[in-house]
Amino acid sequence: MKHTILLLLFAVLMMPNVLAQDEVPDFQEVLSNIDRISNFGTDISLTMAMDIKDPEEGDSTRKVQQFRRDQDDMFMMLIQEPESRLGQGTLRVDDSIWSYDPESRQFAYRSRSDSFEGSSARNSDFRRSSNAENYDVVGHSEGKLGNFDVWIVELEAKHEEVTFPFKTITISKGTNLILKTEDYGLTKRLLRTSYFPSYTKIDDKFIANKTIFVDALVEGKSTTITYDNISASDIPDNVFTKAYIERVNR
Amino acid sequence: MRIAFKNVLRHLKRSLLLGGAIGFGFFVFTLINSFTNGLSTTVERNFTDLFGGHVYVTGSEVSERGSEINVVKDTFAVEDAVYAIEDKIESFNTRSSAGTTMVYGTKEENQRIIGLNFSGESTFLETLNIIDGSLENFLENPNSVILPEDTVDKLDAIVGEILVVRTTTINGQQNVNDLVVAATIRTQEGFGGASGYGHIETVNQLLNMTPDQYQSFNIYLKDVNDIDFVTEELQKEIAFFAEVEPRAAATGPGGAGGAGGGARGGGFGRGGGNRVVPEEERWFGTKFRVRNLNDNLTGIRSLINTMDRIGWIVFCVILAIIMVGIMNSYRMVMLERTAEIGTMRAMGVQKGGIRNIFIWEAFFTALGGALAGLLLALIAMFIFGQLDLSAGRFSFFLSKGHLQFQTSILETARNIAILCAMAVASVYVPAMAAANLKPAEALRTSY
Repeated sequence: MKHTILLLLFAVLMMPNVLAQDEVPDFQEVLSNIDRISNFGTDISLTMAMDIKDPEEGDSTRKVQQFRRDQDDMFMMLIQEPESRLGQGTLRVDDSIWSYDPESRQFAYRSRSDSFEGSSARNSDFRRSSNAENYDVVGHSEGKLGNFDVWIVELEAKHEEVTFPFKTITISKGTNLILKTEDYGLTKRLLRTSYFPSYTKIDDKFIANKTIFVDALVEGKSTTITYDNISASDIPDNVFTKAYIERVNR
Repeated sequence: MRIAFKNVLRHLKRSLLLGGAIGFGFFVFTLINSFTNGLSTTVERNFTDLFGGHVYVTGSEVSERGSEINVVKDTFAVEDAVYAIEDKIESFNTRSSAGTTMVYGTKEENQRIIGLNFSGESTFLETLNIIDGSLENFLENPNSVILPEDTVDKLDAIVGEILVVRTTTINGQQNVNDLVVAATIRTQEGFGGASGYGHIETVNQLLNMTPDQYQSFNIYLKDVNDIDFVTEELQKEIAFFAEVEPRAAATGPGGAGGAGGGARGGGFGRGGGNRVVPEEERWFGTKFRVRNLNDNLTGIRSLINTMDRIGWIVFCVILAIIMVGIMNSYRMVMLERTAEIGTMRAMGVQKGGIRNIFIWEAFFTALGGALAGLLLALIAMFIFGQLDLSAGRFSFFLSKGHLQFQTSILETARNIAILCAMAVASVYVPAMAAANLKPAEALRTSY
C-alpha cells in the first residue's frame, strides 16, 4: 500500500515533465522541410557584408554581390570591396566551383571546402541547403538556446562528398529554422560553430540575414556575414557564366 | 722544345702578361662551366628528391557522385607493371600529399605535408638539412612531422610542440589531427614552396585513405638515361591492367602537375578541388598517369643550357682576343729575334726547327696560362662552395645550402687542348714567317 502511494506520488510529480515533452518529430522530414523553406524557387540576389576577425591578420571587411539560383544549384559571387580585390569572383556551375583572378585573368578550380576569402566561411556555405540529401539523423535531444526551445539533432554524412562529415544542428521548435550548427571533422573534432540569429521571410521562404561563423581551432577567429538588398527578381542566365565575370572585369 | 721553354722563361714579363690573359679567360670559362654542370646536377637531384624518384605514376578515380579523386587504389596494376622493368630500377617508393593548415595558438600557416614510405626511400631523409630536432624523433613517432624552419618560426612553435593540422580529404571533407614537430629543416624555396614530411600512414589518415593506398608511385632508376624508355614501357605495361592517360595529355598543362603547380601538389595529381567529371568522360577503377623527371625539368634545363651557351660564347670571345694577342705578340717577337734567327739558321738550324720554336713557345705559354686559370678557378670554386647561402630564396639551386661546382677532368682536358691548339694555330703565321727568313738577310737586319 505504502509502495503504491509512493509510486502514485512520483507519477504525479513527474506528470508536468512528461506533458512538457513535445512529440518527437521525424527529423529526416524536418531536414527536408528546412531545405524546402530555405531554397528559393526563384532567383535571388543579395549583398553580403563580411566582417572577418582574425587574431593574427587583424580585422578586415568584404562587400560581395551574390546571385543564387537554387533550382540549378548555382551561385555567383563578385567582390566589390575592398578595392584591391574588386572583380574577383567565385562561380558555382555544373557542380564545379571556379574562382577568377582579374589580374591574371585566369579561372582556378576550387574545392567546396575551401575557405572563402580567408574567412571562416567555406564555399559550400553559399550553395542551396541540402541537409536531407547529404545527411542522416543519428541522434537528437531537446534543449534551450537563449529563449528558444530547440531540438539538437546530430547528423552524419550519407556520403564522403560533403565539407563536414558530422554536424549537430540546433533547430527552433516553433519555426523549424536552424539557429546554430556545430561542424565536425572526420575525427569528430569540432571545427566551427555557426549561428543564425535572424531570418528574413520572402513569400514562404526564409533566408538568414545574419550568420556568424566561429572558428573552433583558432581562438578569436570569426566571420560575421550580414545579408542586405535581398531581391527575388529574375536574374539573366548569362550571369551564371565565366564569360560574365570576365565581362564585368573589362 | 728546350729552347722554346727557355725563351718563355727568358721573356718572363711578356710570357706572364700573355699567359695571364689566357689564364683569365680559362678561369672565367671553367668557373661558368663548372657552375652550370653543378647547377644541373643539383637541380636534378633536388627535383628527384622532391618528387621521390625519376619516374612517377599517379592515378585518379571517379567517385559514385562523379568527382575525380586523386588516389591509387588499384595498386596491383602498378606493382605488376613494374616487374617488366625491374632490371632498370634502383628502388621505388610510394607517397601521398596533403595541403594542410597548421594551427598553433592563434597562428595559422599553410603547409604541404608529403607522406613518405621509408622502407622505399631510406636515403631520402639523409638529404634533408636538419636544423633542429632529429630524424630519430621523427622515425620513432608516427604522429610527427618534419617542417621547414620558416613555417615553425611563423607559428612561434618549437620542436616538440603539438600542432593542430587541418586538411581536406581526397573527397573534399574537412579533417583535423594533432601532429608533433619532430624536426625542422632548412627551408627550400622555389617551385611551389617548401614541403614538410610525415609518415605516409599518418598523411593517408588525414586524407581518409587506407594505409596501403597512395597518390604517387615513384621509381628511382639505376641509370637516368633510361628515363624515357622506362616511362614508355611502364605506360604500356600498366595499360594491360588499367586505363592510362596518353603521354601527351599526362605531360600537358595541368596533366603533369610538374614544376609549378605540381611541386606544390608534390606531383600527386592535378591539385585544386575535386573536379566533377562529365558523365560521358567517366571511367571505372583507377586511371593512371605516367610522367618523368624530364617533364618537370624542361624549363630549368633550358635555363641551364642557356647559361652553358653563354659560358661558351664568353670562352669563344676570350679565345678570339687571345688569338689576336698571341699573333701580334709573336709578330713582334719575330722582328725582335730576326738577327737571332739568322744566326741560328747560319749555324744549321732548319726552317722547321725555327717554326717549331715559335709553336712550342706559344704552346707552353697557353698551357701555363690555362693551368694557372684552372688552379685559380678551383680555388674560387672552393671558396664559393664554402659560402652558406641557405638563407637566400634560391636554395632550390643549392646542395644543402651551398653552391655545387662540378668539374669534369675529361671536359677540362678537352678545353685545355682546344686552347693550346688555338694558340698554336694563331702563332703559325708568324712562325712560318720566321722560318722563311733568309739567313743572310736576317743576319744583316737590325731594328
